[in-house]
Order: sequence, then structure tokens, then C-alpha cells
Amino acid sequence: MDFNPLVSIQRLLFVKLIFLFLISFLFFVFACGQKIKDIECQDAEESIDEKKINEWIDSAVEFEDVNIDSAIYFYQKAGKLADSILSYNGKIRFAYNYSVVLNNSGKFEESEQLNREALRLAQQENDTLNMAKGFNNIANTFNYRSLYDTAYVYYIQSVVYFKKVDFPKLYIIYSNIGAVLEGLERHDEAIDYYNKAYLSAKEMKDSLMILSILNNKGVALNFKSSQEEAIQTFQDAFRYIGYNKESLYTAQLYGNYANSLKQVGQLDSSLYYYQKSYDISKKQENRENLAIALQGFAQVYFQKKDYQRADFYGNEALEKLSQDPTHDKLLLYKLLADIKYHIGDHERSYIYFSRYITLRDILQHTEIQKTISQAEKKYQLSQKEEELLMKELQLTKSELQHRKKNWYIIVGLFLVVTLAGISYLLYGNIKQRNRLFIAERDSLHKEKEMSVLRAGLEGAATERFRIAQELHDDLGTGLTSIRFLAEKITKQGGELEVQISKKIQEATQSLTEQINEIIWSMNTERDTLDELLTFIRVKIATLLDGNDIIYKIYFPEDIPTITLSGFFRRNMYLLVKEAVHNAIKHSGADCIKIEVEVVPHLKIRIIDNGDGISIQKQEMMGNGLKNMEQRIRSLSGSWEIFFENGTVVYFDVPYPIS
Amino acid sequence: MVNRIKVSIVEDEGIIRSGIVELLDSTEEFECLGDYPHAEAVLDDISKNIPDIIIMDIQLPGMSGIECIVKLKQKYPEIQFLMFTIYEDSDHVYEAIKAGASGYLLKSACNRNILNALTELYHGGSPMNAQIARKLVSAFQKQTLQPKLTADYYISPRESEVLNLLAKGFLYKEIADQLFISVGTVKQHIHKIYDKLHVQNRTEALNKYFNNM
Repeated sequence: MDFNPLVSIQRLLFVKLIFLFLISFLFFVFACGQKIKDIECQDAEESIDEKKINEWIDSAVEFEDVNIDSAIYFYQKAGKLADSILSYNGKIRFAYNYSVVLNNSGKFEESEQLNREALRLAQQENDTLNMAKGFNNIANTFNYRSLYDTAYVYYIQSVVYFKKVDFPKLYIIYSNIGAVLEGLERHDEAIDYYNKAYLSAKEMKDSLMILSILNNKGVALNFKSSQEEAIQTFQDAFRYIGYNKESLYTAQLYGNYANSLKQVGQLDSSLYYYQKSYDISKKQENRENLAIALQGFAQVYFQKKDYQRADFYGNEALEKLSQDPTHDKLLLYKLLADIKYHIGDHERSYIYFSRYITLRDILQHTEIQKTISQAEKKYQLSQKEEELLMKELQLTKSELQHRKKNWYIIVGLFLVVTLAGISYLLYGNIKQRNRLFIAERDSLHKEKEMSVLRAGLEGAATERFRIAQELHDDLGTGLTSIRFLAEKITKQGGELEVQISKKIQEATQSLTEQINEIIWSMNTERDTLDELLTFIRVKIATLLDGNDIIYKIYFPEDIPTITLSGFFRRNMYLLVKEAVHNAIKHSGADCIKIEVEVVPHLKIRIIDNGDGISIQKQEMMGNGLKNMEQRIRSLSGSWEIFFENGTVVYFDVPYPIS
Repeated sequence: MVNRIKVSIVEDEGIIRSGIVELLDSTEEFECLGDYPHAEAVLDDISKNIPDIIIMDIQLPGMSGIECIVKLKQKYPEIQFLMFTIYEDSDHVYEAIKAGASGYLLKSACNRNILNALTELYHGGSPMNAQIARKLVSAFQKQTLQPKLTADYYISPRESEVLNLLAKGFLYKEIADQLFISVGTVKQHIHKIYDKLHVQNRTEALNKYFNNM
């Protein structure tokens, strides 16, 4: 026995350590192996299911053009499977393809939701390309619903992400943005984007897209009334027709080109190109484009004063248009009204004209709805963004926790302890930021509510005024027509007819004046004290001058900036008008003085040099004075009337608190 | 034989249009050269029938009256335009004047006033109302802050007085009395103010063009 106890202990320890190391190593290998096997197993399973999903989606895409129901069937199968196995690629592919079907059947809300889900998934996986596609698709759904403001925001977002991955077909998005800007009537910006799209598409030699882009650019130029440039653009586009001779884009191109030619007066050339557009659209059986070509014919023949032909084509065009209220239909109704008038069919002319008016109102109503809807969408959009941010925060939290676990499996206790310490600190930080975030979000919510309400109120007032102006225009036109007809009678009629027609003219004159007063009181641009006094001055001076009365009007030099409601202005004006009218008619005056003070209240004094208004006359005036009393009360003001060397009427009205 | 003043009318409402045509043809002073239901028609026909004055409706189907004025003024700067409007206090009237119109005509005006307005315009006088005057006062005020090269559109002190009085709501008669001139002269001042506004607009358009180079 010649062994060293220390050495043997060391050896024993060493052996034990090696043993432990081997065991833990084996364990480690085993654990890793398990994981790898698991992953492989998963991969194997997943690959079978994923294959199925892809096959189904491929079939669905094929069926889309042939049998839409079969396509939907395959899509839904693929979607369900993708959901159940949580296949990321499957879900994304399903969402982006199926949403196209939804779009085509007009189910834009569903399509939007589907794309949003896909976008969320893509954001979780940091998949930039699919995020970009997601934004683009969502934008499309808004575009189709004519909600251009919202669509624009999403398109711009998609461009940001597309650029990150150097997407080669940016021109498609640029072209979409151009279309949206057109919808917003920002023609110059639209043309910029079309130019960008054109350059990009030329590089990729995508001739079909170039056709579409140049087409849209030409239309935008037309809207800006740059007809020469538009014509140039269309002629450029002709070079790219090539093999696309029978495509819809070509038909539209010819149609738009014809429009431009018509507008610069080259009527015969425009007819030629309308014909070309018509021929293609007939083959394609595309009613929309047919209608455009037919409408073009009608317009050209109308300008050539060939009313019979214009009538024929106008009716043909109307037949082809769908039931939907559109701007094109509006123009067509007006055109038909004019055509019918010229061929002497006044009845039909009137019918078409009234349809035109009705449709115009419907379209304007739709516009209002759209604006309200867009404001709502903006609010919802920002809400959703905040939701997404919240979810991102939660994701980062759980991600960190995951990492913790992973580290624990691979490295030793020491790293675990260190990591635990770090994540505890981070967790505390996130919690604090979370609290701040919630507080900020709440105040943002309140702000947004307020601005939505405010926009609604302001919008409502301007909208009311605009509608009133429209109404006024129609009424005014009608009254003017009556006046001209009455004028005709004056020329041709006997004494009685002349008297009657003069009364008619006076009545229409008075009505027109009253409508003008109402419109003035509703015009929010004329709502200052300044404007009120100017208005009163012009009207009263005209009234007095017309009655050959000597007058003096004293206004103060400095007029404070005070906003007054339409109600206040209208009633104030009518008060003064009534008082002056009384002075002219009932007091027998030939000289009237009007004095105005503006601080601290609005004070107006009307002084005349007549005989005063006797009790008898007051009884005669009866209702007139009662009305004044009511009016001044409704303005929370007071008035006095006293007689000394004539009549003095004195109004004292406080300014309304806004 | 004195030459009649040639007037054309662009107005889409048939009764009103034919009313004006009849009115013009019934006088010795005027003749109606053409009547058109929309802007495109007058652009088509203008080279063959060039009038002295065009009465242009503001609300037209298709191309707007304002656009039509811009186009016509480019080729035929001597033609004068009166905007035919229902409502005198309208932003459209102001825009039309900036674009080249020399005044406005109320559709509700009686025949005598319509003819007077046309005669006055032919002899160099234009109408203006308080609201347009206010807008012009602020427009010309902005201009004085930036030095310009030509004196073409500095309005003179006399013109400035007329503008300010109109903006306060004074009638032509009152302004004439206050400045010791005739009503006709007041209207001629207004006409010159419009001309200067047109020049200012043309120059601004040119500046825009040159800046983009």
C-alpha cells in the first residue's frame, strides 16, 4: 500500500468531476437532441400541412376567374388549416389572396379586417416585406371605398416598408397614391407620383402598368386643364400599347385621349378615338367604358349642334350606366337636358334637369357622409395604432421572459442569476413607461374626441351655408327667369298685362332681396361686427337714397373685432330696416340721421324730422311695432321711442357671449 | 351709322339667355353677337365672332366661367367680361375679377340697369360692392409690404380712397360727393383698380413660372 491519501482524494475528486461533467454533457446532448428532434418532427408535420395550404391557395387562385364559389371553398379550407397549425406563412398567404376576392365582391370591411390581422402577424415576426404588403392592401380597401385621406396614409406607410426591402415594383404603389391624390383633387402631387411611377415602371419594362400610369397622368393633367400636356402624355402612351391592343387600359386610353381632343376643340379627331375606344369596349363587353365612349359621342355631336345624333348617343350612354349615382351620370343628365331643349322636347328636358338636380344633392350628401366617415376612421386609426403599440410592449415583455428560459437551459446558474437581475430592472422600467403611456393615451383620447366634435360642428355650419347657397342659387335662377318672362309680357301686353307684370317683377325683386339677406346672415365669413355695420350702411343708404331722403350716417372709426351669430346679425339688420322704413312711410320726414355707437353695447339711434308718429298712426302700424318689440327681446336688448321735433328710435343691444 | 356695341352671353339657363338676347337686340346701342349655353361653345366659336363685351355666367356646366375667362383673356385681351351672378357677395365674383373680369352684373337687375352697366363698362367704368372692396383693400395692403419692380399696380391715393370708402359701405353717389367727382369718374377709378389687379395676377403667375425654372 504505497498510495498518497491526498493524491487518491484528488484523483477521486477528479474522477467524480469528470463523471459529473460526462453526465451533464450527455444530458445536455440528449436535451439538445430532443429539441432538435422535436423541431424536425414539427418541421415534418408542418411541411405536410403547409404543402396542403399552398396547394389549396394555388387552386383557389386558379378558380378565381372561372368559378368564384370553388375559389372561396378552397380559400376557406386553407384559412382554417393555417389557423389551426398556426402557420405564419399560410395565414399570410391566405389573408392577402382571399382579401382580393373580398374586394372584388365589395366586402371591403371584411377585407380590411383580414388584412389587419395579417399585418399584425407580420409585425410580430418583423417581416418587413409582408408588413409593407399589409399596409398596401389595407390602403386598397380604403381606396375602393373612396376614403382617400385614410388610403393615402396607409399607402405612404407601405412605401416606407417597401423601400426597406428594395421592392422592385414600387411603381404600383406610386400609381395607387397618384389615384388617391386625384381623388383628393391634389392634382399636382398626383402628377408627381405618376411621374415617379412611370420612371420606375420603365426600368422594369412593365408596359401594361406604364399604360395605366400614363393614362392616369393624362387624366390628372386634364383636370388641371393642361390639355396640351395631357395630349402629349396620351400620345407617349400609344407607344406602349404593343401587345395590349385589346386591353381595358387601351380602351380607357383612347377614351381619355378623345376627351382631351374634345376639350381643345379637335372634334373630328376626338370622334375617331371615341370610336376606337368604343370598339375595344364592345369586345370586352365593358359597360363602363362603353358608356364613356357613348357619352363622348353625345358631347361632341352636341357641340357640333347635331342634336339628333347627340340625342341618340346620349340615350345609349344612359342605358349603359349602372344604377349607382356617379359624377359621370350627373354630367350626362345635364347634357341630355340641354339636348332635349334644343330638339324642342321641353318636357323631357325638364325631366332630365330635375334628375340632375336630385342626383347632385345625393352626391353632395354622399360627400358629407364620406367626410364624416373619414374623420371617424382617422380617430379609429389612431386608436388602433395605440392598441398595436400596447401589444408590441407586451410582446417585448414576453420575449424577454423567453430569452430568460433559453439562457437557463444552455448556460450555467451564474448567467441565470445575472440575467434575472437585468430583466428585473428592465421590467421595472417597462412598468413605469407603461404607466406614463397610459396617462398620455388617455389625454390623447380626450383631445381627439374634442377635435372630432369641433370638426363636426364647424363642418356642419359651413355645410349648412353651402347647402343654403345651392338652394339660393336655384331659387335665384327661377326668380330671374320669372322676371324675364314678365318682361316679355310688358312688351307685348295691354295696359292690364303691363300692370300685372310690373307687380310680378316687384314681387320677384323683393323675394330675391330677402333670399340674399338670409344667405348673408348664414355666411360665416361675414360674422363680424364690422361686416354687420357695412351691410346695414349699404342697405339703408340705398333705401334712403331711393326715397329721395336727405340722410347722414355716423359710424365710429374704431370698430372692435366681435363675432356675431347669424341670428343676431339678421335681427339687428331687420330692426334698423323696420325703423327706417317707418320713418320714411309714417312720419312724413325728409331728413333722417342715424348714429351708431359700439361700446359697451351696440347702440343705434334713428332720428327723423317728421311729424312724429301719432297714436292713430301707431295703431295703423300695429304689428310692426309689436314685431320690433319681439325682435329686440330675442336679442336681449331694449329700445325706446320718443317724440320731440320728430321721432327718435333708440336700440340698445348687448353683444352675445360666444 | 354708328357701330353697335357687340355683346355675347354665356348662360346655361335657357329663359334667361334668350331674355338677354332679346333685350340686347331690341336696342339701338347694342347687338347680340352670340349666345352660348356653356363655355366650350364660346371657345369653339370665338375666333369667328369676337365681341366687345362678354356676359359670363359663373356657374356653368363643364368648364367654369372663370376658367373660360382665363383662356379667352390670353388670346383676346381686349374683350371685357362681366360676370353674370345672382348673388353679388360671392367668392366666385371676386375670383372671376382676379382672373380678368371687369365687374359683375346682377341677374336680378332690371333691364335698364343691365343696359347702363354695359354702356358704363364700354366707356371705362366698372361696378364694385363693399365685400369685393374689402377683399381688395387687404390684397393691395399685402402688396405694399413687398417692393415690386413696376409701378403698374400701385394703386394711387385717389383710388385707395375710393376703395376704402366702398369697403365701409358708402354708395357711389356718396363717394362722388365726398371726393368732388362724378359717379362716372368713381366707376372709372374702379375699372383702373381692376386692371391693376389683373396685371398683378399675371405677373404673379409669371414669377411662379420663373421661380420653378
